[in-house]
Amino acid sequence: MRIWKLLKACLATLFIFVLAGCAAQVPAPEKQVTLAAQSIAQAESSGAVEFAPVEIKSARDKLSQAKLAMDREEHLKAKRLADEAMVDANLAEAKARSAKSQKVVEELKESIRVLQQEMSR
Amino acid sequence: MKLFSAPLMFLLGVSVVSMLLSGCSTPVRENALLEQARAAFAEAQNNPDVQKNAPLELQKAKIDLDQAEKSLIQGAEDPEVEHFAYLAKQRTAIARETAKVKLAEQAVDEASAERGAVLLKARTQEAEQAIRLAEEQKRQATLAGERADAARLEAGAMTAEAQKARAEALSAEEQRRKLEEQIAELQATQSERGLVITLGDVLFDTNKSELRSGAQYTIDKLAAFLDEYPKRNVLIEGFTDSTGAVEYNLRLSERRAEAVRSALVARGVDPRRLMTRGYGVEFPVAGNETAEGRQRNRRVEVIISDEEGRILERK
Repeated sequence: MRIWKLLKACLATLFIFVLAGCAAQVPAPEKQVTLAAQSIAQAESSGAVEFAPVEIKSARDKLSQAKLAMDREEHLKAKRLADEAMVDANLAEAKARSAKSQKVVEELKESIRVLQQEMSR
Repeated sequence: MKLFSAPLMFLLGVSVVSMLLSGCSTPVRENALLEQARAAFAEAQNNPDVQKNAPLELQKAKIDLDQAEKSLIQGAEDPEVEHFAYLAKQRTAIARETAKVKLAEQAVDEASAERGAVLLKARTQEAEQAIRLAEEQKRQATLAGERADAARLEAGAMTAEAQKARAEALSAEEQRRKLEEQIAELQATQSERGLVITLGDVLFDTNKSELRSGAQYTIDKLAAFLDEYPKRNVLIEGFTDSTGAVEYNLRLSERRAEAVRSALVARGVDPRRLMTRGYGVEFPVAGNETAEGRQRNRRVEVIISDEEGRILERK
């Protein structure tokens, strides 16, 4: 009988600890998923598909996985995936911008070269 | 048993469970992804271009990196540590790309300025070239114009010369014809000594030296001719037949030549142009045995010189 009481106490403590762990329960990451989706859209319109295909694919994949995890109530996992998807999309956008600006520089330099060639004729 | 009362039991349970739980937690460790993120961040931060052009992005990356480190120290599970490490890594990369964009924008500004300068130079060159070309063309045009004028003048001069030459040729032609006509009218014959007009015996009375009126026509014509050609001179030579004394005939021939001379002078011819000679019986043109021959020998020959006034001497 007394053993039972000890066991019950242990279980109660465990339950409290578990509860404590769950006290930091992650809510459904709706906001993060929306943000991730927006970032992907923005990156795509900046030409990410052409200039940063790897990053944009990673972002899309992670977003899908985040949605799935959210459906399965795996909120922490979903949140993390959504955040990573957003960051991947941001990186894709930054790479696209940098590639395009580099192109502009090249084109300008080329046009100068052509001009100078014509002049020296 | 009084010792195993409820509160005591509870306390014991709590400590047992706590110990168990703390015993099962993972010890502080390293994480490969976090190491990568750390290294990448350090490199980016030490890059002056990134530091200068993407400080905010670097800051964001640092926040994630710090969070990852904290999680690691606190003994969080791998997924959590790696999640923040991943964010840090990606945000470091974003900082790098952002810096690249800024640098490229600066390069664009510089290149634009350079292009502007080059264009200006090119256009200036073009303009100068165009000016030079225009001046050259003007010069050429002027030159061509001058040449054309000169050519035209020359052509004009040539035409005038040609016309003059033609006119001269014509007048020379005319003159020659006229001369020929006049010579024909004078009934002169061309000899190597000049034009020869023979005034026959009928123009003189026998043994007289006065010219008959019949000779007037010839004298007039001759005078006119000599007026026309003032450079020409005249030699008048008198001849007789063999009848009578040589001395007498000589005198007679001289007097007859003189008569022709006087007649010409009377007609206005300058006496200095007229020379006379008497050859008497010399230089007969026919035999003196016949009357006909003798008549023929009784003559006066008027020799008209050439253009320069020269008469060859009789041989």
